[in-house]
Amino acid sequence: MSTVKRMWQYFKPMQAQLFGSALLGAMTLISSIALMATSGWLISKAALMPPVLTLSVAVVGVRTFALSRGVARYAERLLSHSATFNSLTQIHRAVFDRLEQLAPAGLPAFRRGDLLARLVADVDSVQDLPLRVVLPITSGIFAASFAVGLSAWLLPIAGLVMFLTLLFAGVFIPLIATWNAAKSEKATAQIRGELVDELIEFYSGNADIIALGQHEAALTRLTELDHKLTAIARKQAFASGLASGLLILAQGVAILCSTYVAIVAFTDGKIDGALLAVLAMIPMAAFESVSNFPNAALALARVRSSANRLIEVMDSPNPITEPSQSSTITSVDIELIDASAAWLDQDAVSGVSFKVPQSTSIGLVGPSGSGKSTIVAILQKFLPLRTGKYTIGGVDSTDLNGRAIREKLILSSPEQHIFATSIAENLRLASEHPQDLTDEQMWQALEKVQLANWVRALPNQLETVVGERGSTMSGGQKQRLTLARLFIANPQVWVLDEPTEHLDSALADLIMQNVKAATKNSSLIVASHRLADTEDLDQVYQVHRPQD
Amino acid sequence: MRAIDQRLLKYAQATRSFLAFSAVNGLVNTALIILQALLLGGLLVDIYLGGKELADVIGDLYLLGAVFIARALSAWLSDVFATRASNKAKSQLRTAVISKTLELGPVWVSSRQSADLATLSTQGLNALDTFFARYLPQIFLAAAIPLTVGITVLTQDLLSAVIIGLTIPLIPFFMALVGIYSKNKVDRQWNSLQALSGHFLDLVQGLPTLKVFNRAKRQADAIASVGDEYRSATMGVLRVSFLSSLVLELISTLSMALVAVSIGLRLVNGSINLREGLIVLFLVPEAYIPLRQLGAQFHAVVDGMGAADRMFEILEAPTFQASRTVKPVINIPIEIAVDQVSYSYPNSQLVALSPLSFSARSGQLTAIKGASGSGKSTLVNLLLGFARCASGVIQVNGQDIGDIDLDYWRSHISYFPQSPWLPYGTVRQAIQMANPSANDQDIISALEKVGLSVTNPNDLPNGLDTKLTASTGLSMGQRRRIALARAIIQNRPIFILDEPTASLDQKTEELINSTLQNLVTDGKCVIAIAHRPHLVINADQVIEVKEPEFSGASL
Repeated sequence: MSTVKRMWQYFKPMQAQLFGSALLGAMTLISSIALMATSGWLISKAALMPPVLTLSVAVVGVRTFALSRGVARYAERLLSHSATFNSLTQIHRAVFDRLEQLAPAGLPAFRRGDLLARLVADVDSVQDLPLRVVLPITSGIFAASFAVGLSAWLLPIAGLVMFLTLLFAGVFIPLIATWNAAKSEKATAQIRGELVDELIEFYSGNADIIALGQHEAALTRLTELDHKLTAIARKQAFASGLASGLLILAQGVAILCSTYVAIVAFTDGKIDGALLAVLAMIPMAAFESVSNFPNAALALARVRSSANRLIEVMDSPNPITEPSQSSTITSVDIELIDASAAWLDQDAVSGVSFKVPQSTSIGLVGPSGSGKSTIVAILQKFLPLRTGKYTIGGVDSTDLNGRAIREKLILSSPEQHIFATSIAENLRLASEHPQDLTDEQMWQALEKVQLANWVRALPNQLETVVGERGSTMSGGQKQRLTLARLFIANPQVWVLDEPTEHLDSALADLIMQNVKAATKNSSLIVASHRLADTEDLDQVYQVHRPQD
Repeated sequence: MRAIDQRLLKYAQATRSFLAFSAVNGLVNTALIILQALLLGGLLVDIYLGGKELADVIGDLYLLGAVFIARALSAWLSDVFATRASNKAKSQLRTAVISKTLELGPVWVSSRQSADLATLSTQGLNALDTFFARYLPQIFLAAAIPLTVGITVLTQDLLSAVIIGLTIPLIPFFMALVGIYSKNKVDRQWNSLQALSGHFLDLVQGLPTLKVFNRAKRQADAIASVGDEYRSATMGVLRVSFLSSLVLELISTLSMALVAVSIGLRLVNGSINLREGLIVLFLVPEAYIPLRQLGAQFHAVVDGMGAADRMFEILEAPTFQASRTVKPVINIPIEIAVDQVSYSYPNSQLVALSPLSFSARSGQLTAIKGASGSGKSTLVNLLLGFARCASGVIQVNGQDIGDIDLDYWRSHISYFPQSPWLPYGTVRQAIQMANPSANDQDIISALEKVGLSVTNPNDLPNGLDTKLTASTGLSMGQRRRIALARAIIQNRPIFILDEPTASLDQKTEELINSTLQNLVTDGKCVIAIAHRPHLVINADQVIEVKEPEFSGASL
């Protein structure tokens, strides 16, 4: 099944509403065609000066079609948007549920923020599938068929003219448009990629580039790439206008041929003279039905690439197999025996062995990149073991549910996310019973990480909203807020990954003292490149890069 | 909207000639449509009532074919020029944004995500395509075409012209009415649309954290409820904002109906002839099409305004570099005097650096220490001219650095930042950036000064040709030391080093401390931010940065 079809599954529950929208859309387009045809017939007939009464049906028809177009369109837009939004919530839910199983080891995106942002943008762009692809095409086909049918009923050969010209406009022109877009994308993709890379270099190394006096050179390179990109776009422009030119041409051919066959039929006495204008006017409105097809085809191409990326994520294998039934954890004696594991992007550890008996403390020291974070991920059962064994209270971790392990063993790390909400909400998520967490408990946790004075000085105190990814806080403050969560959760096993990153030594020492005091009766695992953090722990292990 | 139209035009002057072309092309196209109506109306009546044969009108049919070809050409050209103009406009905007970020400086840049800035000046600009290519020319056409068509109708039938003349102005009137009513709501809807997407992204980014605390499942339910709230809020707004298109449709179709019925009835009593009637009937829809298109494009334009807003936020941000033109000779020994210097972030009461005074001299190691968040890195930014002091003055040999040409001033400084940047390329290229004339021997000896050996595969697997990509597996510590070697090989009179011995083992730390001592003995003015006790002990003077009020650590 194609990826687009699979995304369409999420819109299926709304199928009735979407089909209704398509019918309303068709009614909008058909109203215009009928309005044109009826008006043409009305005045052609009127020119023969018949009794006014014979025109009354046409007069009513003209007025009705004039009203129905606007009303049908309004109803169509409301119905289709409501159905799409409904489905979008379902997609959000489904993607989140899947990501929940994959995070963090099943998807490299969790280690790269920009990939995650693109994933979310892909979810957003899938809403174009009904609104910009399926609905316009469905209602367009309905309306175009109506135009063909109406012409054919009045004069069969005119129906053939409409069929051929609409087929050209509805199938051939969209193909040209997508072909052009793909060609232009192919021509610009490389230069645009280079430009983006160069820009990211320019911005991420901004201070150094300027301090090294390299900014003029960088600017020249950027300008050159920009000129190249613009020059290619200029060349491509000639092809890009083809679709709109051809549409006018197709409509012109339809009007011309319909008029021609109508004249021939009239002079042969085969049709009533009033139909001359009608047959000439049907194509004037009919091509609106297919005029959106090129855009729909382009939107489909965009939706397809988003759907491909999304489906790839949805189909990623689970990083961890959970047991069908979880054993119970009786004690939190932890043991790693000759354990090896690797992330999808290949960062790895191998041959790791250590013990953390219940209520003892250990340190893992080693330079950054040596694999401390990988070990921490193993302990949380985020990462499967390739070799070796990980036991808790003597039970093999493969017999334990990850959730059960993480009830006992909780991590704090400077990479943890600060949610764009209040400080209080950011703390509450660490509590097993968030509704029972008192302000007093939150203040206590903030005291332990030396953050209480800062929060107290803020106008809204605990209710202060911290901005996207905690953007209103300094690195050290964010670090301490993530640590405060552990004081709230107070698990049986505390795991701290680089707990004093971004902090100066005096503050770091003070906070580590508080951690050690709070974990007298719990186990404590500290991974740090700072030796002082692991002082007076029961055991300290050195971690090496695998190749060392 | 209006303000943004004008601002976009100011930065994208490339569109001016295109607008002139579009105006001409649009009018030519209208003339062709009028010609089409005259020809078609004429020949149909000739056949229907005039008793003419196909052979009598075949010339008109050929002419009509020519008109269609000309219309197709005009539509094609209009698209070609629109695409070219919008690409040129985007190029101008891109250049403007990039040069502006350079003026705003690294402090401003570092407060943004690099990938975001890069996207904004590439794909982000595509959101403005509709604005430049369609909406702008359409504003003129929406006024000119109804007028031209109206005048043509007037030559055929007064009453129909009056109907058009009365209904067309109703469109902008009603749209403005609906617009005023829904404007605040629409703004809110765009915000809530962004908010929903932003909320989802926040949750997805936080998923690993939620999982650590076993809270992910609970959030999944929250998604559904937030989505439902959003949907009902949005639908309420859409019910109103779709009204504008309802009004548009109704006015144009009802006018058409009004014209058709009135012509029909007058044909019956003979006060108008069929030729005029048909021509008018063909033309009436054309009078409304440009306004309908304008309405449709408006929505796409509003979509692009998010990108425009973010761009103007950059283009119109205040800079501080205008008056820096002096290039004084800076003699050695150098004395940098920092006098009551403070800094606070623009648009914020948050103090980043409390008033600080000290002087640093050639042949001295000045260590700067202070708590996390006290403003040490801010001081570095001020010294390098990446930001301007809120109060106080920094002088070099008695000259205010705020007046010195920035590039000239920085050419006296070897700088080593906290998280240094290395270009994609080899170790050799990264270091030669600082000193293009350095040969391999110079580079090797600079690397040795920071404890990196080209012969030790654990340090640099391929010696000077080691690639600096993410996959090489160089650790942060190794990358920082390469950057430190780069600062050393630059060998300028002033060294500003942000924690040169952080995350290093003790042996390397000692080596780097002695390298710094050698710089001092060579007569360099070395200013180093220091957490490590050894660096502080070796310093000739230690400056303590006091923690600003209500910010940073709370010891």
